[in-house]
Amino acid sequence: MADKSKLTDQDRSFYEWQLDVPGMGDEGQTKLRNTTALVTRIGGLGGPMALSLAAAGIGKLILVHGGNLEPSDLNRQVLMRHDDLGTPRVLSAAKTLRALNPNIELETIESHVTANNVDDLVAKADIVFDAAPRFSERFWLNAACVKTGTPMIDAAMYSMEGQVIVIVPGATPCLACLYPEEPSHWKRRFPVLGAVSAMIGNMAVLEGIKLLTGIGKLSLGEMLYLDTLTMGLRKIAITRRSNCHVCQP
Amino acid sequence: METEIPITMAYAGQLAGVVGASEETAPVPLGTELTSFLRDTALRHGEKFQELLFDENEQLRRALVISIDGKHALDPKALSLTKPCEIFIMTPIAGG
Ligand SMILES: [Zn+2]
Repeated sequence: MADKSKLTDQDRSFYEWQLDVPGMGDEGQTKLRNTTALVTRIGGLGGPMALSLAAAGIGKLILVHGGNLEPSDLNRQVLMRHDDLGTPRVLSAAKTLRALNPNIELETIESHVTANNVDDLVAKADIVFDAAPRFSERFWLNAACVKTGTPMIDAAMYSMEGQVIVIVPGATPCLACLYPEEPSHWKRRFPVLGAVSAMIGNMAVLEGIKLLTGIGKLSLGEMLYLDTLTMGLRKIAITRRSNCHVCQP
Repeated sequence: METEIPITMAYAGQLAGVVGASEETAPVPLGTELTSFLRDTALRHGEKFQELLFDENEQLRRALVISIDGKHALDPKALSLTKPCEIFIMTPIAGG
């Protein structure tokens, strides 16, 4: 069996341009290769997340998404192909990712995150990338990650803005500290430009890679908020709720 | 004479769209309660803005993210404006 603690010559040939990133080296790359990342869902945010994680050489990707590809998905879903219209999105995504990097392991789940499957899904992962468009899914993931101590990078966007939050159970406030309840007036439909969702998705991946490899300064306990109309980046210090029903005993 | 302090309001996407600007500064009487200031602000900006900030019982929506000088305000109802500051308000967003 191959020694997974060392990079192979093939690894080096694939990743040589990023091995030179300060702090990455063999050690950082090996950490990525030994990581299982769960990405849900595979849309405007989650697609670019999965793409960048696959390109960076994450060991295993678990892609979670229910439903088939529709024409209106294609303005932002970079893993999808026109020929795959009407077929499961997660399979279309896996096909593209396999073509990009055949050396990573892929698992596809043709379902959204639910209250019933969330614990099993999170248990399989070392890190969760949350791009779910419903607050209920985000809250289930948050609770499961806090319970298991699994780090979660939560990303969200609306029109020309987006946000990324790094949640490290025990070290940072959680999503329920920021949103103590499901927004009652929030509507599922929102404007999306593919370049914006890709940018926010990639901000989330960068935070994830920093967390996994130890490169740079992680935005712990902060919400990163990017307004692409002005390219203004805000960092909002999130406060832990002393009575948070998820992360407080 | 009542002392006034400059308060800058910064709005994220949806709110900025309704206001037509991402930022505005206004003089506010020292010690004004934050909720009362936001209620006045909402009255100035019309029904859509009010709906984004307040629920049907006219309570500040709990899922708003309000930060003051970059720090998330956990309990905005308990706050008063005692010094010049920037208040950033975001309506909840998800997905993409
Ligand atoms: Zn919490």
